[in-house]
Amino acid sequence: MINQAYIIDFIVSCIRLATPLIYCTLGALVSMHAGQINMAMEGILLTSGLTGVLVSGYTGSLWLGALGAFAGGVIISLIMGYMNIVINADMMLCGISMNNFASGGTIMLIYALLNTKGSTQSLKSLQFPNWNIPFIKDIPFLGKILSGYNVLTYLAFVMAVVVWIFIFRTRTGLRIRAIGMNPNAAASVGINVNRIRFQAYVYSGIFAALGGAFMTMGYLSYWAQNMMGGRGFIGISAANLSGGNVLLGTLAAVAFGATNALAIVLQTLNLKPELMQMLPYIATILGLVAISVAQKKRDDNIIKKAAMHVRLEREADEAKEAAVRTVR
Amino acid sequence: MDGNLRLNHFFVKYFEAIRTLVAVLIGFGVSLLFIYFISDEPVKAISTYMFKPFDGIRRIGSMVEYMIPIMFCGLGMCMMMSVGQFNLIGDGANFLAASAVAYISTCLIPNCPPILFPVILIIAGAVIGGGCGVIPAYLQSKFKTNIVVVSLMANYILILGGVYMLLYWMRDPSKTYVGSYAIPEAAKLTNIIPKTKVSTGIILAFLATIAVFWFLYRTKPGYQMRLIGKNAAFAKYSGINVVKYAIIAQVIGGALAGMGGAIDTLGKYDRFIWLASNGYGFDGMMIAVIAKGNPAYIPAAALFLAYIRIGADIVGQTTDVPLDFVLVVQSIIVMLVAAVSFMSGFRQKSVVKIANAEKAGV
Amino acid sequence: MDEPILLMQNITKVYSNGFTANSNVTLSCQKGEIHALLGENGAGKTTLMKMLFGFEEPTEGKIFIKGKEVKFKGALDAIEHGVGMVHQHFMLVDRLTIAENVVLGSEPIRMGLFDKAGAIKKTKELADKYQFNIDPTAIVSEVTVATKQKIEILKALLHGAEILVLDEPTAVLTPQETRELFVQLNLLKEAGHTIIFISHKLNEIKELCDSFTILRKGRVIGTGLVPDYTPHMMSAMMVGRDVLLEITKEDAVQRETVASVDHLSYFDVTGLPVIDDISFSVQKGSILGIAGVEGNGQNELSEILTGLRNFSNGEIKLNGKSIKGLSVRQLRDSGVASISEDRMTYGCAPSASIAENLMSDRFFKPKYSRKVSLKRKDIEKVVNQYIKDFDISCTGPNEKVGDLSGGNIQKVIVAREFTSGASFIVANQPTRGIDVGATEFIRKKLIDLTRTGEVGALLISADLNEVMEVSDSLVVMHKGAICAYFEKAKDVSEDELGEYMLGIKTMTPEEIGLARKGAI
Repeated sequence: MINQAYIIDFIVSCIRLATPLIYCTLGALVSMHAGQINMAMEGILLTSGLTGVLVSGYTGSLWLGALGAFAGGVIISLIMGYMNIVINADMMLCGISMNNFASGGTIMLIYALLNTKGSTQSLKSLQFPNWNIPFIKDIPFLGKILSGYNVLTYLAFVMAVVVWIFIFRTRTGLRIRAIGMNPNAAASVGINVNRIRFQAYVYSGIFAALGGAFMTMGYLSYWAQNMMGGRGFIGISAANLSGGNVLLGTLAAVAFGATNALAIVLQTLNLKPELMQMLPYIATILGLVAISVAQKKRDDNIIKKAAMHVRLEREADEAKEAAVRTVR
Repeated sequence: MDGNLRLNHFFVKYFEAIRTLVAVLIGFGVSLLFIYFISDEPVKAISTYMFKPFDGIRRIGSMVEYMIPIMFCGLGMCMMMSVGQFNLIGDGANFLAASAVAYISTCLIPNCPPILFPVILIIAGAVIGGGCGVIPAYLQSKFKTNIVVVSLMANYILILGGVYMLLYWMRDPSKTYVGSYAIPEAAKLTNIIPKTKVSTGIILAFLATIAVFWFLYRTKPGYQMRLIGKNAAFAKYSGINVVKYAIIAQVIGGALAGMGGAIDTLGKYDRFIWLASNGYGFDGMMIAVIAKGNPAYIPAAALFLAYIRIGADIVGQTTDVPLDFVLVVQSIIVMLVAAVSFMSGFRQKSVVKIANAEKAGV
Repeated sequence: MDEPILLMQNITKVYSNGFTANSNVTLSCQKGEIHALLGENGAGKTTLMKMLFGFEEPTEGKIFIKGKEVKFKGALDAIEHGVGMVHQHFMLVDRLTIAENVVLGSEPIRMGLFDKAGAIKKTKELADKYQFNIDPTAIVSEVTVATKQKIEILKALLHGAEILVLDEPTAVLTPQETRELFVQLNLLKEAGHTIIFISHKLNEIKELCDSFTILRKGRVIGTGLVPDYTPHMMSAMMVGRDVLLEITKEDAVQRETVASVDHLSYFDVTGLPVIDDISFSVQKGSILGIAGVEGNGQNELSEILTGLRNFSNGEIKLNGKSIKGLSVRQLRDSGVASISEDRMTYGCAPSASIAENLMSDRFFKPKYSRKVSLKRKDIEKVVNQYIKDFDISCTGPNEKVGDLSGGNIQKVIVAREFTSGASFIVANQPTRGIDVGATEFIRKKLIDLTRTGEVGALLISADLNEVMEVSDSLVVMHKGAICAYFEKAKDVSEDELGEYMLGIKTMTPEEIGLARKGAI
């Protein structure tokens, strides 16, 4: 009994739930190309969600709120960058610690500013509006799927394009990719590898920041402690699955959004919510295994191809030599 | 000059210990700063934080109680670190084992005779924990997946599993709050300090510490595991089966965390009431990092963490400062202790001074 | 015109561990010449070039470029002064295109974005100028080794290099590719570039270079114009010994064969024979040395013999039994011990204690352990004995191996391997980079071990002294094959040995076949 309304609801739900995941995936992709894993993604979400709410609440401006969200993401990234790159703490440990740092720090921040413990519901913060696109919203079926999302959702897809341009078409993106693949090569032409790594963290934080803002200023209208529920890690996993490809990463994020939406739908069908909530995490682990297997196949192929190349070249050479000799 | 040189030698020789101490002190200092700036009555709040944990048997008992699960998680993390793997399954293993133990004791074998009862349950906790630990370990060895991400994802799954069991398999409908059936008295661990909830679990925790230390530093498998952690290629080249022992180490690590969950439940609570993890896994990671993976230092590190946690708890309850600043402090300490270059400039200067002195024939 | 474009004057480089890599070296190059820098491995060529490229600073001495003194603080400095380095191990980003690799660090910009088309254009122009036939849009992982080298040269040229340093460029090229390279280098020379050509292929140097400088053990042995010297003369300068190391040793005791290799071949991924149909045998009671310039298959041979690498073509027998497919543990149990060339990766665990390192291959033996636990007191006693027997300078069995000096680290490794009860020892560069005292000690221990008659050893060494004096018999490897065999190492002079090592001479198959003695 799956009728049209269900399908539409499901797809809309998918994309809406995928929004924060997409932002995290984009941030994780930047790190990935730099050869890093930004485990602090969860903390970035939490912090940027809070700073966005706070700034928008105090200034009354939505756009300043967005800037506030960016600032939150950057702060976490800066601390992470300092700990990992300047004083050389292990990347994983740093990331995990930063998540806890953010967890405690956000609660402290709220208390310091609002004197409440745990959530910002007392603050009148703003929300990003939904956008009902004129004309498109009236198209039957498609209209409901394409129009009516939150502004930040549309922005997420725009951001995907921006991130693609950043990684693959700018000079900084080229350098980031270079140090991610062969830092020695970059160093040998005078590039400051550590500086680029630091920048990569910061950009990662910037691109992911709006994910937090979406949760607190779009999906909900307030910030509550530990509200991100692992979305940061799912974003990292989606980036892993994509192998660095921005389009695939975005699609992976949407797919994870789908498992989230599926969980909600299945709940209404009397399947236990806790089991359903496991879906995205199980999907993540399976995805990681799949990508590992695929990666290995790909690497083996590259080696085989290169070897064949060289062998053919050599045989051509030897043929030429032989020809030259017989002429003589 | 001689005294100065002596100081330099001392500094270089005990550098790691000094560095850890400085990191801990900095973290502690930061916690004081938090309280100072946030509280309206800073002096009172700070003295509460620093001294109240020792005020009265109940409070000291709280510290000791807190030490129990984190010591087990810390020991579990020591096992992971011994083979050089950052398998963070401790949190999930701990939680699932705790929930499972409540379920088994209330629904599966509620009439098990005493003495045997807790023993079976603790073993069950260990088995469950070990099973949890093997998943990220196996995936890593077979598919080279990132063990940190996989174990963190698995934690979410395990915790959801534990909550599921509480809500649908053992929830006591007669209670207004969400809780399991009452755990049979025969299953519980004996209380050893009246007026507190300190159970025999603390003895078990210390026994476990001794056992893990003995295992890692005195036995053949432990030796192989540590060698793998120090240089897996060399271990392989010496003929050691790296894959096998790396996985066994992580199973033991998970088992310890699981045991901790079981012991915590049976020692402290009447029912299982948790809908979210207590974060013992991260606590365990922190004390293992401070202890540099050596079980011998786990009790001291656990005591320190218990101290600041309970201190923060009391501060959170009796003053206007929320207790969550302690998480920030923990994070800073972990990062500083783990930072290879933290204070390394000072060490370098000392080394140079010593080298120069040697050249001058001192 | 008489002023050299590059003058490295009285350069001395002493490392913090006391090792002297360069001693009073002077290198002078005229503008527009191709200057060969010759020397064996360890002669100091790489260190000298590291200083030229700004990776290291000289302990003493000055560098002048175009008459002006320069002090390089890093690669960027050197690049700015017109020095371009083409490394032996390519510094390329495999998954980027050729153009992207070439412009990396000085990428062209258009409207704020990376100007891909501009980079391609720039690269193509530069390539065409010197007749480099390349496609700038190709991905680096998919091009040949020769092309990769051209990319490195283009990189240097793009950054304005006037002095190009090429480190062993033809080691990885086919003859045809080498010819192509020489054409391009000559074009560069005509355009006014100066080239430093590091190599030990004397025939190529004769063909390409104008002048040369020869280094040996960190010193300049000779310098001159290439046309004035024959390969024989240059080889004599390169491969001589300054100090005649005389080791008095008893004669070898020729016992039964402990290890035999028959028609062993090993191919790399591209099908190139890295080991080319070699056969030899090692007898208990004697030491067989393998001489040869590094990179001629010795490392792969050592890895195959010790279980780190699998092989399919040929036969290897240990005490008469084939070792094909055996695991490392099984090989050790069969009686193989080895001193690995990469001692810090395979030879020891630096963060573990001396005792822990010494026990890694024998902790399970009843002598050192009970059913579950280790017999710590017994272990400590044995380790202390080893520390004494092998003269290991340390604070005790619990000191971390990484804290010891290089020589002592090697002695720990040697202590473990030499007391393992093995009947066949493979020693790969056992005394490289360690102090004189430890070196003498280890060599003597190796000889003594074989003189018991129970052990046969294979000594792979790039140190001519060592391989000539310590070995009883000698085999020379060149391009993966054995090109010479000397039953008595004492019978060959270093000049002659050098010629075999450098491929100038080669023995007949009958003479080489004598290396494989014994029926089994």
